Amino acid sequence: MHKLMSNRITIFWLVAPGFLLFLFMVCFPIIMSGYYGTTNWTGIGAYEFVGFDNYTKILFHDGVFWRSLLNALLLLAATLLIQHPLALLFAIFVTHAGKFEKWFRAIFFIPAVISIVVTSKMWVSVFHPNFGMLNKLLEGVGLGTWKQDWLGDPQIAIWCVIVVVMWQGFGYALLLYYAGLQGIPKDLFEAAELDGAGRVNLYTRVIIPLLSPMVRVAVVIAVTACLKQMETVFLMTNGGPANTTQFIGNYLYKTAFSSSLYGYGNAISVVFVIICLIITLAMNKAFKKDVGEF
Amino acid sequence: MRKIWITLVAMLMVFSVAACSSGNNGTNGNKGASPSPTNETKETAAPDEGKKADPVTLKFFTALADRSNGAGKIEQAIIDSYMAENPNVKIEVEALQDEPYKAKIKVYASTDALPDIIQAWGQTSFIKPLIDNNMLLELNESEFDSSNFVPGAKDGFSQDGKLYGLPRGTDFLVIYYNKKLFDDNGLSVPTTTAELLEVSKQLRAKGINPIATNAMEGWSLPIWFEYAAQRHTGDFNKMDAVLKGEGKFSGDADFLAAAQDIAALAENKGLADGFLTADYGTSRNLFGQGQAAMYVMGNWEAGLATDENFPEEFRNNVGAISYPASDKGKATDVAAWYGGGYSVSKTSKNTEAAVAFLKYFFAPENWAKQVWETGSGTPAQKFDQFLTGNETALQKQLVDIFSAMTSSSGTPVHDNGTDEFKTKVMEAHQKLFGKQITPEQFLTEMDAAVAVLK
Repeated sequence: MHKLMSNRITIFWLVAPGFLLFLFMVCFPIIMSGYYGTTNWTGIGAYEFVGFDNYTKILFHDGVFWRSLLNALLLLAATLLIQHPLALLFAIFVTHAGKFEKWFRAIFFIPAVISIVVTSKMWVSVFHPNFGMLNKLLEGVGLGTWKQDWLGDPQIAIWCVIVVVMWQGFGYALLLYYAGLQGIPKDLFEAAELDGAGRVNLYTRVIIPLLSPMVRVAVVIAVTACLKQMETVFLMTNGGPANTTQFIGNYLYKTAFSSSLYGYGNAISVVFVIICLIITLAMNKAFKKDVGEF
Repeated sequence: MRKIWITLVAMLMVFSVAACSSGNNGTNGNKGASPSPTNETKETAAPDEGKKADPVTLKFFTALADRSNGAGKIEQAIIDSYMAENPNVKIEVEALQDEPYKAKIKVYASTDALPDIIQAWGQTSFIKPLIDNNMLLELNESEFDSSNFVPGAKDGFSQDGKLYGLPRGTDFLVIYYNKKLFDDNGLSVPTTTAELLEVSKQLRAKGINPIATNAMEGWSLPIWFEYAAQRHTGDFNKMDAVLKGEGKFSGDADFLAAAQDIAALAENKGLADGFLTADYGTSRNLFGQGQAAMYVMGNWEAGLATDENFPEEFRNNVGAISYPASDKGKATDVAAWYGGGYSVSKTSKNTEAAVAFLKYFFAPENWAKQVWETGSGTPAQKFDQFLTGNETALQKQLVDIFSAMTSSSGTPVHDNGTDEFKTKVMEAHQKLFGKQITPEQFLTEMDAAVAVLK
């Protein structure tokens, strides 16, 4: 086997299919996008080369683009600061739930199993100002003055969208942490107990530090999910009202397919790819520090 | 020896992957996104279309997504009966809602893979790029003489005197109202724009949503504004003139007054709660379930009076009026246009079969008769001979509005340009109706949108 793998020609032929796929499915389209981004193509018919006009317009004159990026960062912050700590807390809770462990595990994972279309539309109904459950509930408990046009108010809409996205992703985050907790050897718990560590100390000093490889995975997944966010926004508000809930994926789609600005849409996607690359590099740097084995 | 084997297997893998991908490219390029192997064999087996008995498969792409109600049901019924009468013709239907449809048709167009028969709108924003890029088949007008199209109906589908499509219906925007909600609250249906505002205030005071519409999609708002503007200018053409570069929106007293009217309506919560995030189905349901007193929508919703999904009380009480009048504009000045229709792809291998089907489709006793008798819309063909006397009260009101029409708006303003223009116009309206900009800012945004056209 070793002899086989040291043969360069064999290695070449074995790597070639995957590499070609990657080349034609990922690299080539990105390069094409970069090229179309320098044109004023409308999707049909002839187009002209416009240089870097599209790119400068995105970077310096396109408020919606930056708003979309800001929204993605807001979502990311909310995910990391609210969703993940909660998910970790619930994961710990689930591991200690005894005979209900399986039940809770299933219940918390349900939102992640149901189609995003269904849950998004469900939340749109919940938020509906007239017959929505949220307003009815507020009215029922005597908080009628708190009633809002949840998705129609530019100030509130983005937070509603963020809550829904976090809710949809909660199951996966929980599952990751839960799996991480399962991977920690039981003797560590016992050792800590023998050494007289309380529950709080056990978790803050022993378990959570040991979970850091899992946290790393969860954070990477969260970052990609937040940047890519499109379906929920498309289904709930389509970026409205007045682009206050716009996300880059949806903005890109709207520009290319509703406004027929394919050239501009492609330019957005290229800028987006570059931003993603920068964030990935930054994350890799940040996560360089290795965690000890157990 | 072993090494050679491994190398061979590896090479085989590479080539099989390459072969697969090129095979896919081939079919995609020719036939669009959903090639199924069975059609392919059929089509290649019938290279010669001259003989009648040869099997023909027509791809039919439509924006009537609901195939079991209204116009979509009739479209499907005609397709089914055509296939029954012509066993050699197989029509494969793909149906999507308006906006997804328009997105997908662009994908088809940019990959040069238009289906044989497509739904088309006789409006610059949709049809001009397709005509300019030589994608639509020129139709022979005389072949469709017996279909009795209403004069002017085909204009939107024509360019440079050539006909590229046929209109399916006449569209106009009306206000549907729920008579019971008005009666119960001692209100009368508005006849002037001032009354519309007043009624909205009073409905709101009684905790009822005044006017529902589908502002999330956005296209009903510009047509609504055309009404509002006409009620101040007294002439639908003034807006078209601005689009042509004669004059501007900002600085014009009439347009400003119209925008202020809308702003006043929005300020007094004349629009249903959550209207900005209401899509077509949501707004329709809100009205149909008696949660809103009025509904701004096209005449194609005559089926509201017969839709079993809504309570009987609603069905018996739904009516329609034209947009209320003012001292300058009459209620008989209607925002009307010839909307959706069909075109044939120029690259189709079966153009003759496609045209033959359209002839069948537009025979008076098919589309025009059936769409009228079921209350699914107003055909763009003469249909007097199909009046049965059994029309619902709502249908009669709609016909009255249509036949009393003294002037019409023509193509809605947002459809009079490119897609970019359309998006900008709709967004400006969403902001105005959503109280996010002042009337003055709205007019400036409209001018910015017009600037895109130059």
